[in-house]
Amino acid sequence: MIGKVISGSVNKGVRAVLSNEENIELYPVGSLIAIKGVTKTYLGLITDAGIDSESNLVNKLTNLSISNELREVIVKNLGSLIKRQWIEIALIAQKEGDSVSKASTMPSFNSDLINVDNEVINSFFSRSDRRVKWPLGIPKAVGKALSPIPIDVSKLIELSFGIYGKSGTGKTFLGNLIASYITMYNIIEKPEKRIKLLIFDMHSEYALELKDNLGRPIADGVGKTFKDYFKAYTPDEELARSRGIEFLKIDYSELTTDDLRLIANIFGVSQTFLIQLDNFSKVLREDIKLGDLWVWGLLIDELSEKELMRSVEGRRILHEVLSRSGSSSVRALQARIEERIKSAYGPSALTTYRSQRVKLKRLLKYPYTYSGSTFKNIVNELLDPEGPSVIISLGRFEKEMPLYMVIANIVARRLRSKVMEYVERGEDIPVKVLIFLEEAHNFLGKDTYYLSPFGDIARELRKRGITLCVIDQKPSELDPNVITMIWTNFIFTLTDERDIEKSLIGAPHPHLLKKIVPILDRQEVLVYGEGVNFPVTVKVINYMDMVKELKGYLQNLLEKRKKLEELYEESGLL
Amino acid sequence: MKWHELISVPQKAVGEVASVEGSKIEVFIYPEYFSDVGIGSLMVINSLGSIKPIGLVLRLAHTSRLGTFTPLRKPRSEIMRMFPDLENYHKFVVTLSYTSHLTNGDVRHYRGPMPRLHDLVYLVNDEELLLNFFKPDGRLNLDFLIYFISDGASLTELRDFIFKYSKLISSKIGIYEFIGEMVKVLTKVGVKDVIPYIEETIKTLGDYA
Repeated sequence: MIGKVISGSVNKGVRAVLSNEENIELYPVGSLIAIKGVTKTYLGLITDAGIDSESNLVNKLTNLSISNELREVIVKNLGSLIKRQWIEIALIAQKEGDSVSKASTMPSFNSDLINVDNEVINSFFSRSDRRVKWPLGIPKAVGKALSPIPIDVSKLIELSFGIYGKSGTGKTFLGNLIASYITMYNIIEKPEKRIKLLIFDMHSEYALELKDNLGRPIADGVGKTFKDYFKAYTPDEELARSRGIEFLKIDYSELTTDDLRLIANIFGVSQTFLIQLDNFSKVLREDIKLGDLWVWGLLIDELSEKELMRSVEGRRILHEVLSRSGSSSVRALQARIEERIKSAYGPSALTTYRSQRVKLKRLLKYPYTYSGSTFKNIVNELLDPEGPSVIISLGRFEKEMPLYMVIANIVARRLRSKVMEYVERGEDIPVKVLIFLEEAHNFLGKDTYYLSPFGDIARELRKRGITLCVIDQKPSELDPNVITMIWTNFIFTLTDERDIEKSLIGAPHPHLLKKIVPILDRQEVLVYGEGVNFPVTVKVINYMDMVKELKGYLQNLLEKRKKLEELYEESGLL
Repeated sequence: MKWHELISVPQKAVGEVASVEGSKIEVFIYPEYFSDVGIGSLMVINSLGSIKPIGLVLRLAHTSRLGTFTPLRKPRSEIMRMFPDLENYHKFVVTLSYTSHLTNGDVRHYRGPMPRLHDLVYLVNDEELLLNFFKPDGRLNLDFLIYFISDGASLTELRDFIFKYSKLISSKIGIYEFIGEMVKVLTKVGVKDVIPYIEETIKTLGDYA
């Protein structure tokens, strides 16, 4: 007997006392524990553990001049007179016969706590079949449960899901693991609609290698592991050359005023400028006749002219801008723009324009082009059932959030527009697309949700087969509408109370589970939602080992398939 | 020594059952043994049948059998010389707390049937028997103290009991083990503040502790 249920409720949690012989140190918060009721077996998560003691007795005992050894003997034998060891349990599931369901009843008074073994795990969570259900990790449990908790890929990708956690907790490892499983699912299960991944990879850990805390590569990312199934792009020319990745240039003619608004905060652009931005855009597009090159009207001045002159692409842009506007020089162009702004919107608008537009010139540091970006290809590849999944890695620009946002927004807008073409034709897209979005609050935050194309995607395109994997350190900064669209949640450790609260919206017993989140260890994740049968804390499976295994598995599978095909060919069946 | 060896020689009896009331047994101690008996002494009663009650001395009483008492103002040696049969007129009685019994030679810390009047009572001093009493199944078991305390043994009586067996406790049982087991018993009988008991035990075991 390890303990007994003594009080509590289904909603508030169950309180159980541990036998005095039990070592309470073996009952970590977040662990699974089972309860043997009269007719049902229950599964719960330990959400708190503690000791109540008789303080008067403890004080006296502390003051006794005796050896520690004797003190321990006395404490042990005093049993419940001096202390009561208890644990608090959030009931998550119940099993009666073969029927497993969410916990809706309370275990009887005095029900026994029992250890969780593999049989219990398998009966509540089922087993990995390595086709649809893949091992997520070993559950944290009281007992000897070594059977991994499976994640159901087919359910996971039906709806958007979120991965939250502080920096360094294991989000990227898990992201790569899930992306690997989805890739394997495509290969093995060959679903009716292939799942195509679009991964925005800030730190190049999906396309290239995952790194340790010191930045040393430790494992291949999903793009490298499954190189035949992914195509990587990068705005880092050097990286593109050295690693054989597609070089990605940005065509600023694809930027909208909303895009600029999204990145403006990072550039420190004033609110007044943003309020006037539509007006400035109108002047540049229509009055100055720059059309889709209007952003360049904001960027070009005598200083930037020198920089532009240094590259063929820059000279082409400069030439086109001057030609369209009919200006003889950059100085003349700016004079015309300023004069137009002043006459149309007043001197204060001009002051704002002059003082703030220089802040946008950081865009000139990014690789730009006028000859059409590769974004179109990306979207076409994504929507092609036979095409690869796509990873966009920032390379040396990994800390350039504006660049990341610009790229992501352009791709997302193009994707949405392409999908809408299908919709307008009354067709479904031929694939499902899952977008991995790191630092998601920049696109789906309270202030950005309605500006970013990702907001539109989240709102409109789920039913069209486009879902999101929202990856973020600060879930509290996500718009509440986004949170409610997320159906499976992977929560690594978070310490900010608001983040914890937001990450648990939709979880059963959030008031209990919130105690688990801040004390999760590295690589430990609390997962709940569609992808798993019941909420559970797991130590995420070792990615490096799993990658090796998947590579071997894939190779075998492909060889077998090849042999079969050869056999069919020989026999004339193919 | 075996239990039956002790109780099979009537000449070794130190007294006999004088009355039984509830769980307490009054034993008339033969005068020559009175000074051998103290609080906490272990006694076994040779009742008829296979069950032999065992108890711990809880109280000592020494009164006149005639109900009167006359002061003599003399030292004990002179009194004995003047009245060599004086003790025949005195009553030496101890109250036993019935804590355990022997059944087919095995010690059980439960009460069995009551003894009858005049059943012979033997004092247990043999170390082997005492150890068997403390560790009936080879493991320390102080459950007999449950009855001893319930019958009225206070910290004072317990202190005497411990003092009486301090050598045995330290050499054959283990002080920590004894204290641990005693604490367990105290909690069983509902003693809320066990600290004075622990303090007294440590003090009583003195040098041994």
